[in-house]
Amino acid sequence: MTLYVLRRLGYGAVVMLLVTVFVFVIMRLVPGDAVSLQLQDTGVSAAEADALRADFGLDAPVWTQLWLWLGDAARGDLGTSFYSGAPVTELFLERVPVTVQLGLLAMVIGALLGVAFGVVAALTRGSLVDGGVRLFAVAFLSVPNFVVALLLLTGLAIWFAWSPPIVYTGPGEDVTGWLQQIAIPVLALGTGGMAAIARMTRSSMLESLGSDYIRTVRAKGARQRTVVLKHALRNSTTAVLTLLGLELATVLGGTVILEQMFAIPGTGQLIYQAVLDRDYPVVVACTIFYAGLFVLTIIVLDLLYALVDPRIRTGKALS
Amino acid sequence: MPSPPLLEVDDLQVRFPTPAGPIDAVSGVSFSVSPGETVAVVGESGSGKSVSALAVLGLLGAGRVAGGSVRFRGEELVGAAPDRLRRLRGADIAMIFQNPMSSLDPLFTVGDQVAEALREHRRTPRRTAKARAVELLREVGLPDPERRVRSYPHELSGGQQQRVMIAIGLACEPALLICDEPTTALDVTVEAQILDLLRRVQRDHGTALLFITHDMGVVSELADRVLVMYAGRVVEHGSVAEVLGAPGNPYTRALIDSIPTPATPRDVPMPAIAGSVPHASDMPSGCRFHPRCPRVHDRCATEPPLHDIGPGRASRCWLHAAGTAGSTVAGVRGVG
Amino acid sequence: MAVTDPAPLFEARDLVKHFRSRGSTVRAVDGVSFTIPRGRTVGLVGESGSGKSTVARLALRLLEPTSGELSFDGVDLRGAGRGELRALRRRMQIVFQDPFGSLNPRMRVLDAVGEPLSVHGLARGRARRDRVVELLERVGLSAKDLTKFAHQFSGGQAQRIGIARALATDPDLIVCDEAVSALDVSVQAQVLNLLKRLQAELGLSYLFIAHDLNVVRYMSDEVCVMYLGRIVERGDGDALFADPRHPYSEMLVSAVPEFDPANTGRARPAPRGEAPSPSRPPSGCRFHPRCPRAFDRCSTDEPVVHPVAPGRTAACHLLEVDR
Repeated sequence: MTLYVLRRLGYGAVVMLLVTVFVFVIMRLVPGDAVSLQLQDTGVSAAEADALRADFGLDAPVWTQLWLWLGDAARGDLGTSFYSGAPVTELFLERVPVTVQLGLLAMVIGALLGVAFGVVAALTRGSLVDGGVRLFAVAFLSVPNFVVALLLLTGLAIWFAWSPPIVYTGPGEDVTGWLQQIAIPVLALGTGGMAAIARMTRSSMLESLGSDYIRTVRAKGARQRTVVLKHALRNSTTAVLTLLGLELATVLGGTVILEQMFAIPGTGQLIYQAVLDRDYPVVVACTIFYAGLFVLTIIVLDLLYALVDPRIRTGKALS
Repeated sequence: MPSPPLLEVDDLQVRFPTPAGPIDAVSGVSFSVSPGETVAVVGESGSGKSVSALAVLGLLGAGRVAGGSVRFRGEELVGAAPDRLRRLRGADIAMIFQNPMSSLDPLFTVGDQVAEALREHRRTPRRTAKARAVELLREVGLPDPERRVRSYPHELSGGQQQRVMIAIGLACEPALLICDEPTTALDVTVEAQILDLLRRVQRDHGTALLFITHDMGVVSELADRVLVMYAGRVVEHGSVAEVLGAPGNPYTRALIDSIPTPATPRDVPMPAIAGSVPHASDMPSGCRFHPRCPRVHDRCATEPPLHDIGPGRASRCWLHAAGTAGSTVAGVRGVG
Repeated sequence: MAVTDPAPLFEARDLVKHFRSRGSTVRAVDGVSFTIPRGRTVGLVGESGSGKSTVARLALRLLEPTSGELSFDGVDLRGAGRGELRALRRRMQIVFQDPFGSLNPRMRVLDAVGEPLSVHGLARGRARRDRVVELLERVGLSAKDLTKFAHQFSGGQAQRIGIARALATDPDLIVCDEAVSALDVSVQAQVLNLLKRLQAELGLSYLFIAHDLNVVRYMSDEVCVMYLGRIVERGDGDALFADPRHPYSEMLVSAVPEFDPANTGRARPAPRGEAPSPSRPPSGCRFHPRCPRAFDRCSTDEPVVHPVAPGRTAACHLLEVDR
């Protein structure tokens, strides 16, 4: 088991390294760099600009830059922002909690509601409720999350004359303000996952409810609660766990746009601005963060699989 | 019948919805099981034998009982409240199934699944239930039950899984154990062990067995009485020795003849029944066996009733109506 | 074997197949030899894990043997080149257990049965159609079934289609891997009769694999009893089942529920134990942990094959002691 985790962490490190190299190189292939963007229309001479480039270390060949950066990164130094001059680590740590709160809430709400809707739909198969859940699930799956956010925003504004505060306050300072601020982005980010999870829960619940082992549980004279919540639902979890991994990707992608839309100072906003500014150190650091989060989640999900399903615990997947 | 029957099924009709309209998987099935006896229901695929058994427990899934009655200790179960049926299931009537691997929940230990039967009915404390599970697993011959109680189904062989299923069935000491082809998926040496176990269970606990099978050998070794089913109907019933020794119905006769035995001569074709088992959506009119029957005649266009052909014995065939004394049918040699 | 066929159609010698998975080796087939004479049937019986289905796949080279020799009509199958193997494949066919699983549900009977003809370039168009009709008639179906799909048939009819398909290339050997096991008894008898009739008409050889002892006895000229990847006993089916000489054959035969209306109820003791996994076969004689007559040697020495009667052999230490 420990060996397995170590091996997965090793794979994860390799993946992150590849992502880093990829982003590092791609960013430098994009036309324009931090210096030319900063000095635009300032009339600074080409020689001065080159001096600035040398300052940032941008005059060296890409591979040399990469090598130097990797050396620094190995010592825990992710560089400094080309703009603010602040250490990237500092910039970054400030913003991580915001995005983590947002993403986690979206995922938890999406998963809980998705599972609940899925179970209800499966138990009332063929009814109006089931039909409604399926219809809404398809609808939410086909609408991008920023559109959901826009609809929520305009809908609430028109019907209830309510709109979220414009200035972000952390949950530490003002909980209600914070909740108002993030309610719409959380819902918008969570709906896609909720819809996918509801559909998956419904179909795997139906499969499970029709299985031989559920027939055995019924033949035992077990109460409906035992049949549904203990046996059928637990057997549906592996399928739902798989979706959670995919949902994380969607949610992380979504934060980039939604943090921008709702002026939430998270890593999504940071990376968005950094890409526009060609602020290479920040972009690379953010990318590593996203990749790392994803790799870790996949490992955690794999461990959860093993926790839920003893066949995986003793079987091939964990040898 | 010496004692009042435990289970009485009368004129049972089970209907399943299909896209092409409802079909009757079982119609007009009647039988009874007395305390402590073994009744076998034998038939080929589509005969309705498993459906009849599932109907007793109210486990039909998409199907429903469209007519007739099922009485357990005199209590009507058709139309009974779901909770009443639930309380009977597992406690008074238990059931084991054909495929033990898929019939056990893969995510729970076998001990948990045995204990659950106790906990759902008697609110037995967790620890007591676990201890009882070990005892039950020992009783069904699972080796090393103290350790095995913590095993998961996939860690056991097919035979061991079926022993666990039997332990689940026995947990609440039911008066009736329904066995739906419990040895069909098992190897023959393991089958012999499971049949032996069921015989021992019956002897030690006085449990009545309703045994669904397609294997005449199993019927012969295990049962007191037998019902032969074909295409959703009972075509013959009676004591095993009589029905197997001198079949009254042409179908029973033909079915027995088509089973290869150690004595079947190798150099001549097997006696086979022409054609194939009809599907429930496409039932022949009249006697359901008539298109395949070697003794078909004009009366077979009308469905025959069950004729009494001896004490506790009946057969659904017009040949008996002619008043033929001791009307059993002689062996029919078919051609391939 | 008392008399050896001068040129048997098929011969397997010391066939071994080990599957490696995650550090352990599954010894599915571990030194199996048999010959199939022309126009005859060799039956393989055994329980799950005995390796009988692996033997079927090895015989057709659907699996690559770990070691051992295979020859078909005098040609070494293992040394055969690709083209040669392709030509030989035409003469060896297989019929599987699940007739529906082995027929493409979207294919009409004409194409399902005619596919091998196209694949091997044997017939096209009108000629192919005529050949398919001929094959269907041979197995008891007719030209009006040509345009139907597999699901429109009963299990027995679908298996007849599977047989027609196997016959398409005019094979000499057909491997029947549990070919009648999924069928109802009344239909099973029809298919057994059909297989026997085809053998008589076409001079086919069969490797007939099943777990039902009585079915194998009825079909086979020689029966091989397999246990954990080995043949433990072989010989004429009637003699073998009437008087099994290997303790495993004896256990197997006595375990079969006996259909005897004159003597209902069972008095014989049930066999003990279950077959261990082929990834960890017991030392010495593989059957010794379950054998009621095992003695000290059985756990250390692997028994050799002893002739016990004309045309019969068994691998058991007891037979040596007897002599």
